[in-house]
Amino acid sequence: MSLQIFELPDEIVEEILLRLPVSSLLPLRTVCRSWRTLISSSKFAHDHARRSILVDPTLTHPQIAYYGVDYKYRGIGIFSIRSVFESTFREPTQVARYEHQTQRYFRVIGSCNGLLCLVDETAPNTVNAILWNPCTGFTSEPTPEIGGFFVVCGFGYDRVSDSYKLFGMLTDLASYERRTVIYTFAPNSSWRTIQDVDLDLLGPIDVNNRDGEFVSSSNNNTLNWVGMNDVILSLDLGNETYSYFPLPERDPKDDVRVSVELSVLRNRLAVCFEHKRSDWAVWVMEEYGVTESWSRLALIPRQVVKPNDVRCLRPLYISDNDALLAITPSFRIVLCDLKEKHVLVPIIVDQFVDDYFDHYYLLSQCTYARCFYVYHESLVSPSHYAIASS
Amino acid sequence: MGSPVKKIMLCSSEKEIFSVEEQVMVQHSVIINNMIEDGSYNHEESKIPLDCVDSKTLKKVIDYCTHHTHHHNDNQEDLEAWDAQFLNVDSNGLYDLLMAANYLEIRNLLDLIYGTIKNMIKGKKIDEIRRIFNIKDHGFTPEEEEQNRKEYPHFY
Repeated sequence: MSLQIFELPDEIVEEILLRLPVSSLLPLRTVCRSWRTLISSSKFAHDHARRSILVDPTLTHPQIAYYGVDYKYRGIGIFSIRSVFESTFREPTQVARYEHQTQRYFRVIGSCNGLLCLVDETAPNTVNAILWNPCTGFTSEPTPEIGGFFVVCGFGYDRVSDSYKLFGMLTDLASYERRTVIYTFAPNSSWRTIQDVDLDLLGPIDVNNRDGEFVSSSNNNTLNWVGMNDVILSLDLGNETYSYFPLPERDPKDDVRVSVELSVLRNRLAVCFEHKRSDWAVWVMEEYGVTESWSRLALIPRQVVKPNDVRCLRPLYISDNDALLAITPSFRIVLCDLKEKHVLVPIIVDQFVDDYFDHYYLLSQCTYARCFYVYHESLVSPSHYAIASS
Repeated sequence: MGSPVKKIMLCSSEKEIFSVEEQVMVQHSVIINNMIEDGSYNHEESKIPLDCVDSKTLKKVIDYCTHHTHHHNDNQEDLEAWDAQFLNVDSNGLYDLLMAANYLEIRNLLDLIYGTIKNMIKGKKIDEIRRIFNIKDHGFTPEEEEQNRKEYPHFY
């Protein structure tokens, strides 16, 4: 088609631009002043983020960020989910590495609207956090420092106050005192103490499950953890109160020593657990908080069943045509084709630099402990939190 | 035999009248659906005047709605091939279709056209995009424009 002239109303230009990926939108800010104003606005960034989470048939936006739990694997690796679905031996998925110039150890604790919340745990018994948009490169000012370390934490967007919130239960390493706090990202904000989590409800916590799963539903926005006795413990980010609801009913033959994993699949809260010592069962909650709406999405045969396995498959992302990207109990990355019922190990290449050598890793084969987070590339900037929805 | 298919009349800017199955337009156009639902359309006498849609464009729009009503069970590839063929028009034609789909609020046709224009933008140089959208005055100072070029050299 020959390209000629369009003079389009602003709202139509906006509809078209909303469909472009961030990498195309950034240079388009130089087309003219009105496009710059539009693309730079907080409203456009959030509309774009919402759309790219809900409608994205070509998988342009979803990415995975991960970090190694061990201090020596510092730095954050990022790769695109589409490239994993398309990876071949000749054209493997490439990991982009983000090493911080300073000798600080940042770990991800959650993502929301394309922002990653990073916690700096370099100093003993004190933490602070920043927000980072890997796609645009924006970072926020760090939060004030707070004493202790995060036993449980989580990050999400509260639409009631139109702000991003960091939640944490901290234990002070010197006094063993416990404190539950929320930090609302805004200029001159500070840590606020809130009601403690009911420890009787909270299940066994370790580095792999201390970060709450952020779920945005039609009623509320929440952080969620697996609790004791087959419940999910949830924190409403709007009114900052806790509640809990049961997991899907377990079969008596399930191995309940194996952990339960939470994730978000197709924008719904999902759980995965061991089923009858032969499969992983993946369930999604169609309507958030409504127990009757648990529905089973898939049964995935356990490849290797070792009697002492206590870790569960962790689903990360499911495509429209039912390919499930997941992390195995031994931290391998796998693609489960739920229709054809086969499991693939995609080829993902990670260049990792430590103090002594350059290493090339086939990331999918690495078995050191890592934490993985799905996020959607967006224009949302940490500075947008300063523009309240007035 | 079923009852005869209910028809409605659409009138183009040239006052040409098109008779279309009611169901076809109701399914696709939010505006026409509303007119039928709230009773503002009288089947005996009225026709719907579409003063900003010319005959050529209206015929295309009706083709689109008819095909997507009767072929919505076709496989995705066939539908996409049909859509691609349908949108094989010059940019004036595309513009007219966009304006008509916007006026009649035909969501899936709008999506299709937005997607097409999106693909026209992708990977283009800034000057080319300014030409496509007929942006004569970008509103930047010469210093800002210089800065833009420095920031995104590959797009200039």
